[in-house]
Amino acid sequence: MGRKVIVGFITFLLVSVGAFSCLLAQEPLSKRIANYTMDVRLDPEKKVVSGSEVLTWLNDSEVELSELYFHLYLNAFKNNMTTFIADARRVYPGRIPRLKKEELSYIDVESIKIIGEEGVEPIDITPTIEYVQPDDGNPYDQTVMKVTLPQPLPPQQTIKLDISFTAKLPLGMARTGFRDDYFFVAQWFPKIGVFYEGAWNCHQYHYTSEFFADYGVYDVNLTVPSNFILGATGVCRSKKDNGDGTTIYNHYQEDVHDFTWTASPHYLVYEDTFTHEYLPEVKVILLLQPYHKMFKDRYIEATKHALRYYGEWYGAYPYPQITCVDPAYRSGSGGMEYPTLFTGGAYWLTPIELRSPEGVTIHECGHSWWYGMIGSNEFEDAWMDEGFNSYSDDRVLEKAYGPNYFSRRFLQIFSIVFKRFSYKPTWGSISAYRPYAKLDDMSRLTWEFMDGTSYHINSYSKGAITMWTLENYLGPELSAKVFKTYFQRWKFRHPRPQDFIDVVEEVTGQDMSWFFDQIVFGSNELDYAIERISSSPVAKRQGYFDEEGERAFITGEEEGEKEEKEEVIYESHVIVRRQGEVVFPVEVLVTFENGEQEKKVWDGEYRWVRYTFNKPTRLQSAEVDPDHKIFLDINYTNNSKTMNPRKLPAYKWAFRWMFWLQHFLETFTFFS
Amino acid sequence: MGIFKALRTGIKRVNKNKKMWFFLLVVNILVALVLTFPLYSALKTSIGDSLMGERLTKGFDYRWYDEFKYKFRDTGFITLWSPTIVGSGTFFSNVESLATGRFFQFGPTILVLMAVYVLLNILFAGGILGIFHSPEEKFTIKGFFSFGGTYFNRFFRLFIMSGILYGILYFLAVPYFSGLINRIGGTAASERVAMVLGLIFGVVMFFLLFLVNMIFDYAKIRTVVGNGKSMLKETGKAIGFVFKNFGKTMGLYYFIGVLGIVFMVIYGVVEPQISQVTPLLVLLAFVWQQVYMLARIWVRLTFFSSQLNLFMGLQKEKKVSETAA
Ligand SMILES: [Zn+2]
Repeated sequence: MGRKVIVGFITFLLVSVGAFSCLLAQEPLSKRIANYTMDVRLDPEKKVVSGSEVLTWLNDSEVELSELYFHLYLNAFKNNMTTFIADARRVYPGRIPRLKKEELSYIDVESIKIIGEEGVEPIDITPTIEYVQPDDGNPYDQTVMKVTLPQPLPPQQTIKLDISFTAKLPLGMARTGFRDDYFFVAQWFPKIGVFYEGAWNCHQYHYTSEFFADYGVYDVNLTVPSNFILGATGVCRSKKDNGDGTTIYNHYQEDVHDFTWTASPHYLVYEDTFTHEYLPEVKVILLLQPYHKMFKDRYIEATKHALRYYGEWYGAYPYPQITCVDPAYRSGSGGMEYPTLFTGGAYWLTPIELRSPEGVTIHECGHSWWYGMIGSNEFEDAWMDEGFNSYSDDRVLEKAYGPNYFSRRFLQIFSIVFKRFSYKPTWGSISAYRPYAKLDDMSRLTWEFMDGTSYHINSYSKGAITMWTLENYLGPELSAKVFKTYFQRWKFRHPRPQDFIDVVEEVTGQDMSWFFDQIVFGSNELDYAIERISSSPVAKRQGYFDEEGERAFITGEEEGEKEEKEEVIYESHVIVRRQGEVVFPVEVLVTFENGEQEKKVWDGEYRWVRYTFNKPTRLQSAEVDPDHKIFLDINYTNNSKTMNPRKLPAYKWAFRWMFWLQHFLETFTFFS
Repeated sequence: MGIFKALRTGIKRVNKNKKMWFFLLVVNILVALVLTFPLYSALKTSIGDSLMGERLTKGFDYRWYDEFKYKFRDTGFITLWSPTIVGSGTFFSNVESLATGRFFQFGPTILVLMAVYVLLNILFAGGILGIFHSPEEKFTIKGFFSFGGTYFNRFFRLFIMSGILYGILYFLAVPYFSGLINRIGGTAASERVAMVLGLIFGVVMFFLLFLVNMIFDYAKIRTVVGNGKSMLKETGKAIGFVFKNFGKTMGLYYFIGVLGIVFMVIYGVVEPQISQVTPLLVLLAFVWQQVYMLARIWVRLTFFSSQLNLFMGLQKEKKVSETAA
């Protein structure tokens, strides 16, 4: 074959690959199952959003479906008997939400019709509406609606529904609602549940649950007063003044699983652009409360850090725009994630060392990955978004801002930062986790945790330190590969815990069930300790010894002279103990006085292990998990022992305390 | 009598009584030791023969700290221990406690200790003022306690009376104002409103606390100078005196207060510079702490001494002008 032919063939190949990848680029990012076209209007006086949605829904299952399930989240705040409020009473007894008439919310579906072929009269299925309570049977709960179809919907067929609804918004509650003329409109429209694993997955709204939905395209017309500034999921495609004091905005976004918007006349709007060596450009929009102007750069910078690091570690942010909303004071809407839009939260006079609003900004922006693109089931597997995300935001915080510092707010106004005392952002999670380690398994339906704290700690804190422990166990490279592979494989889908475990096992080539069974599906404590160390010169021989066919009685004195010339051998023992029920392989570092070190690896299975060393040097110290990799270890102080304990720190801290006490006493001579 | 003259002679008298400073410091240390030992032994137990000893010598370790607090969470006062009470944190913590009455939540152990110390210092206040007012102005243990004993009963009554006023501030004014701040702040457009109100409240609270404190200082001074027997009368007259000479009494009080703040700042700047990684440096830090405590005691003595001067000076001027008239 001539050279030209080869070149020509290669060119042809390259062109075809290029064309193919072009084709790929046009492929939707997600399987667009639930697609909404909406036309709604905000009545700021009545605190009502009303209008209609056309839902185009694909039956992606293998079975015919004759029922459809919808979330009507706003009915959670309809009265004091809903499952949400009952949960609130149970999980946080001290925090019962308000129940004033004008502060409550509800959503009414006025009509629901099946739209057929053009020219065919829509079929009204409104009379089939039924409220169902799949989780608890609570008859007062109307957060899940079921409709019955006149004819079953065959697999892989699409149905089009025209739904009219009116949503009365609550006074800022569970991150939705109004405060004066500030509106944050979330979980506000009739939203179809997810049919997967052979059944409808459409849970009632619980106090400790978040959400779950299918991906699709949102094309939403929002009519709001013209003096209002609007922020919403997706990109604003058009804006038209209606001439009646209202303006209609069109927002459009593909491949997301929710749509949220906010409107207020007071927002300051800032735009910026995230750019990166190889990640796509993203327009960053900040909607800021006027009294938080000083936080402008900090919000934007934190958002960019999140876009950068999550993008580098897991995969690019695929949408053209992200909106960061600084929520209004006491609006109850701070710190929450939605597709392409999230809320932060700032507090006047907070220095940057306190990482606020940085921490919440990175966390909520980071949910674009763990929740937004990885569409895990937040009702059932909360740790898969909150745990992954807390772990990831800790990593970003550390990379971008360094350690956390101790601080105190003087008179609840001025923050004093103690730069001498810093700590890794994730240590806070360990602190939160310790007292609750044995309360619940990490993987559990969110409303079935013992209480709100247990839900929170298992989902966020334990979730984060579990991922850290996994990362440290696998090592940075393998771990990076695991998370990236998992993200790339499962983005725009609904992974389950086992899907993540499968990726871990595939990437590492190891059976990791021991890890997940104990930690994710269990609630035992992990605690390894150095139980005892000792080191002493090898005892001289004493007694009867049979040597070369003769029996000799040795007193020990005979060898004395010899020993003086020879070096002394020390027999050292280290006992490592497993104090918790979790079995975890551990490393043990033994250090000798001459600087020599030995590292042992123990499978950690039996209750304890003893290591014996005969060396011409005394043992100095032993430490289990010497690189401090196992963040799940609930007692780290017992991880080491030394032959030469230091007393200085006890004095140092006792003196510091004493000074505080001296000054305390002297201060209160004020009364004498 | 001007405030600076009162202050100058006041300081001179305080400086003449160095033994008194050290006596008060020793008592302060002894009382503080009562709750330092339990913390020390808790620290010793926790650090034990672990490598934490090494790590905490060189720096700070959050995970150890967190476990320590968790281990001793039921012991009450130990939970007050934290890195935020170190350095200038000491002052912020205690000054805030004074302004808000937060110390009432500190648990019985520490409150009992505080009560003992306050009682001791009611006794000492008589000793201090007695000696400062005596012709020799010289500290002796015998003289100190004899004056202390002489005035204890009367000063204790003043303590009860002032306690009622402080109680009104802590148990009525603080809850009332924090309720008010919450109500107004709750309906405000931003968190700033509540913060500014909180700041205003803090300033007002300090002003009132200091005012009560100053009035009762003069009530004690009057009692010593005039050997008054009715504490109600002395307090009434002290109020009259303070308000009649408002500029001077306030000027002197706040000027000495500012001196106290200057000492705090100096301490707060120097303390972090001492790295405390060797026994010698830990000792140095300890010495520096005690130097500050001496300065703090000096400030308290200067309050007594200078206010005594101001009172006596103004009384004399009054008498002179009365005779002149
Ligand atoms: Zn989150």
